Amino acid sequence: MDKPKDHRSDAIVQPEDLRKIADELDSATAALLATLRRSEIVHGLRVKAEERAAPDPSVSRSRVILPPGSGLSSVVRFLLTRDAYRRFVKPVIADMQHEYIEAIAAGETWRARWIVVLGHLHIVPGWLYGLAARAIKRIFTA
Amino acid sequence: MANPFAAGTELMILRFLRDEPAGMYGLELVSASGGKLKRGTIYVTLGRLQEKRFVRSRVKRDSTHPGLPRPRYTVTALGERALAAAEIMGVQVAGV
Repeated sequence: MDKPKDHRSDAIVQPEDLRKIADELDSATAALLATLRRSEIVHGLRVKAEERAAPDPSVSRSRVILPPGSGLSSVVRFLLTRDAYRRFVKPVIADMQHEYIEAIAAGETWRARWIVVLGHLHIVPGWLYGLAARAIKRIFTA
Repeated sequence: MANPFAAGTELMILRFLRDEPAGMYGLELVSASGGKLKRGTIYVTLGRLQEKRFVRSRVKRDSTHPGLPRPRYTVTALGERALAAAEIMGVQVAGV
């Protein structure tokens, strides 16, 4: 019975073949470089790099703007009980945001800024009341 | 337990809310009082009235307004009864 023929030796690329392929690639690259001027290549590469670095002009830069009092709201929420925050502070912040947005819509920027300043001051009584209520609750539940 | 009686400013708020069945925002109460209710303390008073169950608040989210939703306050049946009792007893509410 004949032994099956081993094809593995046919599948292996010989080093001579690889060298030949590399030589062909080298000569092709050299031919391409010869046709293009060096300055054109550098210019093309620079344009590509600039395109990658610069933002797309069709896409405007966007920034998330939170309504005023958002940061303060997070701080106060941390300091007060949930109920005290909901009752005494949250409505004040909501009023401030509502008035602020109305002023901005009317084009009254300075009035809007003043509303934010006053709004932060108006939070203080509710905040203090909430803190006192929390302290009393702690004393009586301890 | 919360004090079951309403004080002067609380009665004033209850009267405003009774006259406005649709309810009022906190700032509307401040402007309706002509300066007798202060912006800084209105929600403390409304909070106390809520604890006494004289007032309830409802928050309706407005998709056109990007901030926090504002609560709208309405008087409860218990609040109306407390106000009626105060009026029968002749409790004066300053300036109202």
